[in-house]
Amino acid sequence: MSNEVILRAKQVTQRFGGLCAVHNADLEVRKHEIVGIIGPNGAGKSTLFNNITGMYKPTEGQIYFHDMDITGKTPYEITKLGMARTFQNIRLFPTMTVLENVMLGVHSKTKANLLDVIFKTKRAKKEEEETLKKAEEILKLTGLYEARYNYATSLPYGYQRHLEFSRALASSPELLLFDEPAAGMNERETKELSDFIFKLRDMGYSILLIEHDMKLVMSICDRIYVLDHGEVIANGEPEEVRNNPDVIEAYLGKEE
Amino acid sequence: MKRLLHVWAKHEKYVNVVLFAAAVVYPLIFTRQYLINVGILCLVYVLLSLSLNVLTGYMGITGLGWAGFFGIGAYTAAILSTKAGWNFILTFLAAMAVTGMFGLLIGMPTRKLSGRYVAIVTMAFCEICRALETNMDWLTRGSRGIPNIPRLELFGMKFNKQAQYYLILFLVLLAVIVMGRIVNSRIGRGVLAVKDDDIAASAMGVNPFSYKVMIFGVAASLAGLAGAFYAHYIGFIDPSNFTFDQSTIIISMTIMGGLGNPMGSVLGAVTLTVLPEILRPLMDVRQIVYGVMLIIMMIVRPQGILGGFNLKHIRQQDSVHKEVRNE
Amino acid sequence: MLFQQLVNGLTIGTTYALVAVGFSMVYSVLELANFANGAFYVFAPYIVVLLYVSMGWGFIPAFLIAVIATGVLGAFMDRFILTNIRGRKAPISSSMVATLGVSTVIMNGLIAIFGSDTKAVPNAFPVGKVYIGSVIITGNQLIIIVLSVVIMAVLSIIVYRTKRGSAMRAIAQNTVAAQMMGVHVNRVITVTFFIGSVSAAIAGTMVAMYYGSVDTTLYTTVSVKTFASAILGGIGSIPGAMLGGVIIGMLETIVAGYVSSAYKDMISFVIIIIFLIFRPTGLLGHKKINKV
Repeated sequence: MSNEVILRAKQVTQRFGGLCAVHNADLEVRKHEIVGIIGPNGAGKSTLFNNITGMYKPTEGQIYFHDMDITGKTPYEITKLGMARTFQNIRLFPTMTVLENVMLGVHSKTKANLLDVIFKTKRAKKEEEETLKKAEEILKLTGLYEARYNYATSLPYGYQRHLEFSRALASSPELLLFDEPAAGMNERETKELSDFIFKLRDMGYSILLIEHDMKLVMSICDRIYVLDHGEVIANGEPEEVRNNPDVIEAYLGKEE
Repeated sequence: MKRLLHVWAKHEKYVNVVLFAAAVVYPLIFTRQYLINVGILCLVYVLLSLSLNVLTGYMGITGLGWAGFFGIGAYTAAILSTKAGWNFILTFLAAMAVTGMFGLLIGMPTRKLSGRYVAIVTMAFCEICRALETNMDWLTRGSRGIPNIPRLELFGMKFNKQAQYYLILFLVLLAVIVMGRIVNSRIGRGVLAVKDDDIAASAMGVNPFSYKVMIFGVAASLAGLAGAFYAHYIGFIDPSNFTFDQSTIIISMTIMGGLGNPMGSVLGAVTLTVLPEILRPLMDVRQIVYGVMLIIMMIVRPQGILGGFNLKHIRQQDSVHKEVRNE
Repeated sequence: MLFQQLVNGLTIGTTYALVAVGFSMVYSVLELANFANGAFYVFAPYIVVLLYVSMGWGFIPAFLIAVIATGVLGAFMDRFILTNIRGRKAPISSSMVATLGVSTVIMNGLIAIFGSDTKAVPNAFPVGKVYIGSVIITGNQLIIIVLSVVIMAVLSIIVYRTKRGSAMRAIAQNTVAAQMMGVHVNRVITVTFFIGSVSAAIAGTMVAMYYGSVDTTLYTTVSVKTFASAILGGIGSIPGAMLGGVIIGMLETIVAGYVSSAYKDMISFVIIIIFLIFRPTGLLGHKKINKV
C-alpha cells in the first residue's frame, strides 16, 4: 500500500442554521485504501460525504483532492476530477435504461458539444462508440449486462444498488464513495458486496464508505473513522476502533 | 394496441418514411389553396410544438409563454425584411439567433429557480413581449401591426403555396433530425438525467444549470424559426397573434401529443389544428366542442397520446427477448 | 394624487388577492395551475347579469346564486374531470391542460349564449363617497376592500384553524401520508376547488360592478395576474397570496398613473421576474433544504 494521500478533509465544519452537523472533522484516504465512516444515526456521516462531494459547501475547513483545494467546487467539477459517489437512497434515472444510466456515468470524461452532436462530427461518433463499449464492459463486470435495456427502476432493489456502483465506475474515478452500500441487503448479498469491494481495490480504486453493517465494515476496511454528534471521536484500524472506550460508549455500547 | 406499438417500434424507420412521403404527397393531391394553407398551419404548429417539447418533454420545464418566442421570431423576420430588405434565409437565421439569445436569457433564472417558478418566468416573459410589441411603436408599429412582409422568394422567384408548404416541411424535418441527434447523444442523456434527478445528474458530472440554459436556447431558437416562417408566409403580423391564448394552444398540443416524443408533437399539433377546421361549420359551438374534446382526451389518456413511449427502448427490449428465445 | 392611486390600487389589488388565495390553495394542494380559475372569475358576473338585469331578480339572490353556481362548477370540474386524471398517475401538467379545456368551454359557452360584446353591469350599491382629505373612497371601493378582507380572513380561519383546513395543509405537505392518516384526499381537494371557485366568483362580480362592465377578454389578464400574485407571495401561503395580489394591484395602478398606462402590465411582470430571481420562494414562502 502506498502512502500517497488522495483525499484530505481538514477541520471541516458544516452548520445548518443553529445546528452543527459536522464539527472540525479531519479525514484522510490514501491510495488503494478502503476507509469506513461509522457512527450512530444523525452523527453527520452523510453530511460529511456531501461536503466532500460538493453537494454542500462546508461552513469552515478545507477539502483537498491530491493537492488541489476542492472546497466549494460543484459536484460535477469534483466528479470530473475523479471522485464518484452512490446514494444512500438510490437515485437512478427512471426514464433511462440500465445501459443509458451507465453511459451517463461516462459523461464527465467525454467532450462532444452541441455542434458536434448536431453535425455528427467524427469526434462525437467516436466518443459515442467508446462510451457504449465502456458501459457494456462495466455492466458485464457488475453482472447487469443481460438487463441493459430494462428501465433502471424496474430492476429489483439489490440490482439497483449494483447499477449505482456501475454508474459510479463509468466515470473512471480514482476514489469511490459509497453511502451505505449494504443497506437492505441480505447476508449472501453482503458477502458478495465485500468481495466486489475487494475486487475494486485490486483494480486500483480507493474507496471511502459509510456503513451501518459492523461486520462488513470491520472485515473490509483498512481504517475506520467514528463520528458522533458531528465530531470524529476515533480513527484507526478496525481492531483499535473496536477497543476504543469512547467508541464503545458512544456507539457500540448502545448497540450490544 | 400494445402489439401495434411493438410493430411500429420494429419498423420505425419505414413508418417515418411513409409518414414523410404522405406529407410530401399531400399538397399534390389536395391542391385547393385552403387545404394547403391548413397543411402549412399544421406544420408551423408542429415546429412550435416540437420546440416546446424539447424544453417541456426532455428538460421537464413547463414553458407557459411559448408564444413569446414565436412572436420574437416573427417580429425579427418582419422588421429585418421590411426595414432592411433582408431575404428570408438571412431573416430565418437572424430570428433563430435573436430568439435563441432570449432563450438563454430566460434560462438564466433556472440557476436558482425550480421548474414551477421558471414556468411563471416564461409566462411573464410572454406578457412582456406582447406589451413591448404593442408599445414600441417606432419599431413594431404597435397594435397596427406590420403589414406587407415580403413573401418568400429566392432569386426573384416567388414561392407558390406548394413551395411554401415544402419549405416549412423541410424545416420541420430538419428540426426532427436535430432533435433526434441531440436526444441520442451524451447531451441528450445529460438532459434526461437532469430532468429525472438533477442532484444525481450533478453527482455524475453533469452541470444541470448549463444544460437547462442550453436547452432553453435551442428550444427558443426553433420557436423563433417557426415565427420567422409564419411572418413571411402570412404577410401581416400584430401583437394579437402572440398572446397567452396562443401559448396555451401550443402547450396543449405538446402535452396532448405526448411529452418527450417528437411524433407526439406532430400528432398533437396536427390534431389540434385540424380539429377546429373540421368543426368550422359548427360556428359558435366549435370552440366549445374543441374544449370538450381536449378534456376528454386528457381523461382518456392523460400522459398524452404518445407520452411515455420510447420506440428505441421498446425495440431494444424486443431484440433481447428475441435473442433469449433463439437460444 | 399618490394616495388616491394607492386607494385605487388597493381596491383592485384586494380582488387579485382574493382570486390568488383560492388559486394558491389549489396550487399548494396539487401543484396545479388551475387556469379555469380565470374563467370562473368571468363566469360569475355573467350569471349576475342574467339573473339581476335580464330576469329582474334582486341583487343579493342573484349574487348568491352566481357564486354558489360557480363554486359547484369548480367542484364538479374536480370531481368529474381532474379526479379521473389524478387517479391515473399522470403528470400534473395533464390536469393543467384539462383546466385549459374547461376554461375554453366556459368562455366560449358564455360567448355563444351572451354574445362577445361587453355587458354592462349596473352598480347595485350606489352609495356615497368618503372623503379623507383630498382622497375619495367610493362606497364601492369600500365594499370591495372590506368584503375581500373579510372573506380572506374567513378562508384563513378555515385553512389554519379547522379540521378541514389542517387536512388541506396535510395533503399539501405529503399526500400519501395524509391518506394514511385517514384524510379523504379527493374529497378535501374537491372542497378546495369549491372554495377557490367561490372566491374567484366573488372577486369577479365585484370587479365587474366596480368597472360597470364585464367581457370575456378579461380571462387572460386575470389568469396571468392571479398566477403571478400567488407566486409573488409564495405559493401555499395565504397571507403571501394576499400580499402578492395587493402589491401587483398597487404596482400597476401606480405605473399607470405615473409612467404610462400602456406599460402597466409589463412593469409588474418585469418586477415579478426580477423578484423571482432574487427571492425564488416568494415573499412569504419557506425555503426547502435539498436533502441528499
